[in-house]
Amino acid sequence: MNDIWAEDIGITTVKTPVAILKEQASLLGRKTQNLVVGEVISSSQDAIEEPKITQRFNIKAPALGNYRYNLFSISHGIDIYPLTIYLENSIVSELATTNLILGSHNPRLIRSEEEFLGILNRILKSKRTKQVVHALLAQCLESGEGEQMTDIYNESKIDDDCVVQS
Amino acid sequence: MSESDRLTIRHLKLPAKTDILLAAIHFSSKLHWDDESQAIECTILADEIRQVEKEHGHERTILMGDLNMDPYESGVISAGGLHATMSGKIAKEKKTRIVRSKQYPFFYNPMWSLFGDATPGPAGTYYYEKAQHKVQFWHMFDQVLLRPEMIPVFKHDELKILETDGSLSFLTKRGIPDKQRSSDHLPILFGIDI
Repeated sequence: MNDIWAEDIGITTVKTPVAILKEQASLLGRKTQNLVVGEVISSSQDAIEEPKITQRFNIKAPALGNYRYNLFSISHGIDIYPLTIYLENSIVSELATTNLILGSHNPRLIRSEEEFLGILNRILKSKRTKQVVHALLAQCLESGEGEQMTDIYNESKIDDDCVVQS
Repeated sequence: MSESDRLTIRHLKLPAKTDILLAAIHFSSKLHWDDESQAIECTILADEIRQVEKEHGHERTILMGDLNMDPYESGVISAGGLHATMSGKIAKEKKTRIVRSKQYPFFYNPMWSLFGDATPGPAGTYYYEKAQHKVQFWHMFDQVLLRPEMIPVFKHDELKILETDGSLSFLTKRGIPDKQRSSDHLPILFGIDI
């Protein structure tokens, strides 16, 4: 039988949004000695009209009873792009004010991996993200979980190197 | 224990009482979000609730708040969404439903009972009037949803849409929510006996 498949059918260079999110989630844990970690929860929705895959990106503090804060969510179909990103309004306002994104549309349609990396970069750098992470870190330290962590915390503040390279 | 800018899910532990999960939500308005986005947001919320329930090993959950959707909308009734039925009997007897090999737990939505004029109080919790062909006027955007385990402790006869706090009326002279004095939504009151 002739093989009529394209030669490169088994090779893909596509990096899925969930892979990108998981990378960033693990970086946050490393920066905070796992006091505050990133978490990506995936689910598929096949019971609504058009099947969607959703990913929720949470900031989680295991030492605070697994408290987690949902920073944003994305949903997409089988083609991945365009995907829809659901942001909290304070981040939308912040980024719109600083002209880091155009307009204040929410949810927002993301048409390519490049655009996704760009907006993710800005979300993770945003004041709101830092505020949430710092608040959780402070409470972890206060609860005694991070007693040996003070120096590390000071050295590993969530700063501009916690971003996606786009 | 689980939050976003529009959601909080708390583990409520009262002395000598059965612990429950209490979720409060304020969904985005229809002014800014289309129906599909609202429906997807419901699936995200439903997932989050199931995750927290799994972590706590029970489904004694109450979800309440401003859904900015009516009880009959896709996000509220669909299996992948909140899966909230108008019938406590269906929710209690079936508990879950399988759609395409996936199991979805029910919520019971008692707010259906307060729609229209057959009950005391206003016909809904939110009023919207516009010069177009399809206008519903009253909507039931503010809701309380209960997992089947919570139905036996829910005091159905105490569920009501409030028109007043006892001294201040929440309604205008026309009988619609007075957004100048109180809010464009009317509050709801419910009781549980745990």
